[in-house]
Amino acid sequence: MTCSEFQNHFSDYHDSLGDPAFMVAASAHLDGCPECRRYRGEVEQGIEVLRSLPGPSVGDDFLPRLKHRIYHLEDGPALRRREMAGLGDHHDHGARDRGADRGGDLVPPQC
Amino acid sequence: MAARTKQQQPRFGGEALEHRRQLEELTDSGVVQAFLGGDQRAFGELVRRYDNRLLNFVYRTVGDRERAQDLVQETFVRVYRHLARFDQSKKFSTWIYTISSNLAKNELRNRSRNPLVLFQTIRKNWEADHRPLEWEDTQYKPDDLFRKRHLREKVEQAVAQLPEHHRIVFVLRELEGKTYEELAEIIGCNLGTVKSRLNRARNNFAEIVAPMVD
Repeated sequence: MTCSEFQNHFSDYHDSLGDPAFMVAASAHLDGCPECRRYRGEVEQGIEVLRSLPGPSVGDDFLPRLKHRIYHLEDGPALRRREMAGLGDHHDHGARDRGADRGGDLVPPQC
Repeated sequence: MAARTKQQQPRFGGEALEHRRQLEELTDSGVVQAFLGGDQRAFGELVRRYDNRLLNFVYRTVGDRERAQDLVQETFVRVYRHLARFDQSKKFSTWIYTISSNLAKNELRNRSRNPLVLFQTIRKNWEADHRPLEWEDTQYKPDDLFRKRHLREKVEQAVAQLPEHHRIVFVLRELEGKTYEELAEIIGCNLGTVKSRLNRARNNFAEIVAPMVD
């Protein structure tokens, strides 16, 4: 196996997806090739550092904003229904209240 | 959504806590079924399970924390609207990552047409580069801390520098631990394409971080 063959199929080796013959050949190549050992070290160490980076967390306003958006999801259909019924008032903000009266299907999620 | 029946919701104290514990013990599929059966609190459980995981994925993909949060929020809104149509023979996590991934791809596409957004991103990075050093870990000497921080920044930059379609595969695999089959489903490609993109992403990544990890 050459270095470029090893590096072009590195993922098969790294994720143990290669067939047994490939895995044996790749391991043998790695044992005798400092260049490819170095390459593997770069990928693995880099990924290790990447995984150690603190991940972001959603802000305090995330859930309230999400609840608010979901609460208003039914506004559009409710307004369209009113328009079709000849009651088209684009400034009617009471649709969700009527929706809630219809059976509570606009209850925001309890996050 | 309108067909969903209203169930008695546990509202207060111990009862609500117990209900939450029950939801926590369910698989994703169980939580989805509970929500579709009318348990509104089940949606909150899905949000709790996926909010930070999706944020991490989208943030690493688009590179802007605020925008990433907006996209994760949009993901949940879409899940809420379309959950009734979700094919429950599939994995919920694959579906939700597919939605997020598509939103992230659209964001990058729109951004490439809007130089103003690019400028804002550059400015944010500039601010990050000029913040004072934080000696967060006292067991290391300043030189070690500087090297450690520099390495972290280099790794973050290496991910950001990957081409978009390589970056998405790389982040989903290395940070989210997705299988090749899941990756193929999320990005809508065959296994061969996933393998080739991941291999190229790893090659590019190694090239960028190489001077720092010796």
